[in-house]
Amino acid sequence: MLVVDHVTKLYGGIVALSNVTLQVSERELVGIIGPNGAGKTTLLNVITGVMPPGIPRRPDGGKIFFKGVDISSWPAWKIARLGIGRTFQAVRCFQSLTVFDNLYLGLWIQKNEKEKKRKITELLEFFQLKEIANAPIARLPVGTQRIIEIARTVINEPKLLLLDEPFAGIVGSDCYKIIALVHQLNKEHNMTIMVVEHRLQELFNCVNRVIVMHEGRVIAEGLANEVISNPAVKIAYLGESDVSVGS
Amino acid sequence: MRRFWGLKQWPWIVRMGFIALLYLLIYFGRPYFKSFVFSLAMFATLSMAWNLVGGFLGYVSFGHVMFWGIGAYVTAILLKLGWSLPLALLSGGIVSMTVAVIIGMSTLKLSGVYFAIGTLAAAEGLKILAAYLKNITGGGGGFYLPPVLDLQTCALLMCTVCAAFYVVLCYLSNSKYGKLIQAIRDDEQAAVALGIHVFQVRLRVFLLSALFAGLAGGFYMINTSFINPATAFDISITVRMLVMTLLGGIGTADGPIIGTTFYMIISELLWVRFPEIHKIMLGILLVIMVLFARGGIIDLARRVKVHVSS
Repeated sequence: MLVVDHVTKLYGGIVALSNVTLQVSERELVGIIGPNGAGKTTLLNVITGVMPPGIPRRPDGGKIFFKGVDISSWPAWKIARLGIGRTFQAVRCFQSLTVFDNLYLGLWIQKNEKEKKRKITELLEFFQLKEIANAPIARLPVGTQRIIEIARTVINEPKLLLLDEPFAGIVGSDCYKIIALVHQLNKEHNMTIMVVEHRLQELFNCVNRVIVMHEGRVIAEGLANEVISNPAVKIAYLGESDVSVGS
Repeated sequence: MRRFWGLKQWPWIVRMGFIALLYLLIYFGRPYFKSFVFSLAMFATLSMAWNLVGGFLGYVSFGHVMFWGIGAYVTAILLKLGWSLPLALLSGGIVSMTVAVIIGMSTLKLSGVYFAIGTLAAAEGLKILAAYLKNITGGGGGFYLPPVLDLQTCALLMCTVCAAFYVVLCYLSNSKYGKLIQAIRDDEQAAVALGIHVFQVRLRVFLLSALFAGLAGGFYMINTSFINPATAFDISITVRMLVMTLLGGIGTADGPIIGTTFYMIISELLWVRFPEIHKIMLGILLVIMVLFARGGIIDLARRVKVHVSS
């Protein structure tokens, strides 16, 4: 479904991604881990075309294919309409709007107003946000905003969902809710999902395959236990000491 | 009945009352008041046009006067060519929009200070062009037009255009499209990631702003019968749009009208009482406003209301 083919991305003189190649199959659940500065978020940025201001959206080398279509030079809005949705590392809800309006804008590109209302009501119930539907986002805690951001992205039912640290700032039952949602979206809606995350326990509960990045390169990939026992990963990401899953 | 007279209705009663007062002044006031109402309606329209881009989109334009100037020139030229008044006025707005497409295509991709400089450069460029095209614009000497309308009719029409623009802005700020504009101002990248064509939305807003600024320029030309490049592309008019919007409350539908009314009344009062130093006093007043009421009069009123109710 998604092919990242020898992609390189430079931020000025800094190499953020170096010759990254990976493939994600349809309906797959993939996790991406790596220490800070490994290039995880840059990878999501390059795939979606959403770059920080002043940085060109195109990769400096290589190509990205989604369902066989080369999207390397496509503008971000067009990529999103093709069916690639994403969330951000720092929560990015529309602060001056209400919860309802945020979800409504998630469905902006759809035309059927009745269908939009039905979907919003369904999602508000699923996330137990009904009571705060008309509350301004700015007054809500970051954890709740994170859930709204995820809800706003999945409401449009993208074919490929990219979640950038979805568990950051979220505690307790909300974590399980996100894990349950990821599985539900994957199984019932056939969504392909890539999750970038630092919290390994939650990530390994979510995904089947893990890709490890370090200094802009993919250094390992495989099942969670295989990856964790990989010596290169221990050195790059976990340090020299042995760390077990869930610790 | 009680519900109708509830607090929620008062802002609309005040708005309707204000518009009625302006029309009464046009019909029954002395020429001074007619002229005052014309200027008020024209600057309110310009401030609303600036606010659409500066407040709603978050793009501070330093060259917005160019759309007003283009509207004035196009209306004047077409009237001299024998076009009918409504067609000449409308064409002024449409040509302003066309120029806005060209300028917007290049500057709306910029952000922050680069957009401000881009629009300023465009206005200055057009000023030079207007001075250079002597055969069409009359050059630096200016363009004269025989009187077309009397002051009362002119003020009445300007006031109606201003009211119409206000209704459009109210509708826009409460509509779904208004929420979309707000969302883009809040976080452009998040909007793009949802598949929203941000540039297209921005360009549409920019065009609407240019249309009404162009119409205001056309009415100015009809009222004064003279325009020259120095006036048509005068940066101080852009600055006035900006100040009036900031005074009232940037990013709100009511802000520009409140700010323009406040600015013009205070300015007139100071001019009558202190003719030699009225601009200095106005400047001091504006500095005080900026220091203590950054959100403008609307925000100040809101804060006072909260303070009183608590």
